[in-house]
Amino acid sequence: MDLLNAYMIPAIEEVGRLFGEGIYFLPQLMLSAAAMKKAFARLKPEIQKAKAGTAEIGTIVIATVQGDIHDIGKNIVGVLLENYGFNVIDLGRDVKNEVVFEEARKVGADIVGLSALMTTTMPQMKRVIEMFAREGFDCPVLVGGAATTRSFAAQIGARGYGKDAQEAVAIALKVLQERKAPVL
Amino acid sequence: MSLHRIEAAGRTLSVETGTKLSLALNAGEVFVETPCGSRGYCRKCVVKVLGAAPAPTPADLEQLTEAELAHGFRLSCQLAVTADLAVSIVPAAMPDVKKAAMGRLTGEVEIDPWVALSAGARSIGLALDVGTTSVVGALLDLATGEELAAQSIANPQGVHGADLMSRLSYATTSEANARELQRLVLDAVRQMLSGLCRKARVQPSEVVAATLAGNTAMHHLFLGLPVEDLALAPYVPSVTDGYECQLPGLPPIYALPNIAGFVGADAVAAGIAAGIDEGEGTFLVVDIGTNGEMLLRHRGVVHACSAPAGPAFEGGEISQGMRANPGAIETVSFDGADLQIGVIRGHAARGICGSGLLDAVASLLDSRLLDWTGRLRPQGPAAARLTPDGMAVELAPGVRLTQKDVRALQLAKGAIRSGVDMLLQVAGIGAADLDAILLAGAFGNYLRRESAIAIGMLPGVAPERVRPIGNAAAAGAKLVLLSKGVRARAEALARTATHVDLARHPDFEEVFMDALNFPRRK
Repeated sequence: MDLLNAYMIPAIEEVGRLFGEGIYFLPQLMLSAAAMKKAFARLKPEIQKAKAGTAEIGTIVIATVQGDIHDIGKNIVGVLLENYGFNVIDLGRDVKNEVVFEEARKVGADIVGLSALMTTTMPQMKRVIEMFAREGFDCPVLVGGAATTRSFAAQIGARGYGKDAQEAVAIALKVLQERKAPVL
Repeated sequence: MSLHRIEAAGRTLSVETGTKLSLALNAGEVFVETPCGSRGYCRKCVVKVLGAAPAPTPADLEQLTEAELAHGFRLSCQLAVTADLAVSIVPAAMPDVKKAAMGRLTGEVEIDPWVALSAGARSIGLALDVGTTSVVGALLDLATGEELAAQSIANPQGVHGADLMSRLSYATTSEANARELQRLVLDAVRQMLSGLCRKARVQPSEVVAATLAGNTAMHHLFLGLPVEDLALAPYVPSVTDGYECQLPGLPPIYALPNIAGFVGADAVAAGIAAGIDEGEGTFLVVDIGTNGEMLLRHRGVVHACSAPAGPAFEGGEISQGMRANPGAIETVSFDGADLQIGVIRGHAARGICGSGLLDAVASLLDSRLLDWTGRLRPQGPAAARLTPDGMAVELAPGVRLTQKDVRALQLAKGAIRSGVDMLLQVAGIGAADLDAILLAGAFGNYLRRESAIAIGMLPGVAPERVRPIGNAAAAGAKLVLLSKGVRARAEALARTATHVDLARHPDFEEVFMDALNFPRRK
């Protein structure tokens, strides 16, 4: 636990800061995240022994939307989210809207994160959000990916937008905190 | 000062003695391309001198075969006019791929039209290259292959999005939208055709055939084919084979075949123009654009892929990016002490164009202001150019290249390079096995190949192996127009080329991450 809190979390936060400032770039971010993932896998049994259940802060389901097969960005966000302690369920790419909904409901997702890299596939994000509403499934949806913009996210009723991997993690943490905290 | 008469393409031009022939021709609107910057190595400007030809220049001797020299072929960019001349313009003067790659040349343009030539009247053909940004059309005499007129216009579909995906998105929203996009481009082409006819003094009724090259989306929208499956994974074209149709107000059209959703008839045309389907040898054709397309030939097999580079090379996503207009920084070099900046037409610098961007980044790497990860560092002899916050380099007063610009360039060049590397990997070869890298498209013509290699956009081959081949897609459309044999080659190329789907390839992510970095210094 000490290793995690005193070294690994500050380290990945530093990497995130450097990336945000343009000092690190995607290859460095990927390498750092992969190193974290390995270290975390090694520590996981110890952490679970020490205190059951605290290893994961929440469950997030991520996917690249139907019709889109570009997933490098989503993969980077996935690894970073794991680094920050999320239980990440990655449904892959070209994922049908119904599958996103069914899987998210099945695992009781706290958050759903959707990625789209193409102008032609962005509309699927709106359909997923509409499907959640229709089915009465209360789960915040975050969106991102090269084709999307902040105003598009607001327009389709997404709960948040990440312009890059770093912002995606920040918004996921914020939304999770709001969701876990009792609303007064 | 003495003047000489030049006869070409039905015109008579008056030229001062000593003028380079290519400049004289272009000034007289008899267009020849000089994509190598008139440096005498791309062969695009070849003309045939009728009658006694002047002595060959050193570049002629290097680039042309004995047979070609004997027939009067010369590089017009090297030929200083010192006597009256009559020349014929060689349509799509072919890049000497075979020579570049294999050391032999079959040379002249094949004329064997697939339409019956009309008796009594002339038979003229229209070659079209419909791109996302611009539409290029040319009229050719089908009997002689002579190019009579050519024009380039903006694609009027641009009002519905600059990039191809926005167009597809618009077209798939409603049937009426798709029809509107088709109408826009057809109207523009009909107007262009009547202008070309006037210019070439041709009756519209004499234009009896047309060919169409273009990326798969532009091809489909032009022909009114459904684009729904093209817009979403797995991005399947409605039509891959060559396609004949009759559209109102235009001659009968033969549209070149497509290979895949993002490797279209333009890539097929470029491949044909480069001769990628013929002869021996291993070579690569790269069309560097917003969507980069690559074809690799090795041991008789052609592999093709596409990689989205985005608009960085056109100045998009670059804070002070601009097109190659006056005021654009177009060259940057490092002389060991400081950066040397070249600005178009000597204006005060206002921004930086694509070729300048490549040069700038190559020079920053050379001067150590930029490290291999793409981070600006306060080091090396030119360190004073770094802004106090360390996040930008001042190239000229008021023109900066920022850390973010470098990152945007890394993404763009990484996309191109990862496509190249994946094709090499699929073919099981390395860059050293490449006999030649042929650069098609506008940007490929203007960039400095040494810079493209220095930043790792292209693999580290000897710069002489990299050659610009001009607008190869338009050249391919012309060649197909002139010959049924070439048309059959296009069909065969599209059928036999293997498409490598980068995004689905398991190794792509790793290859892309590597391609984002710059080459490390030794």
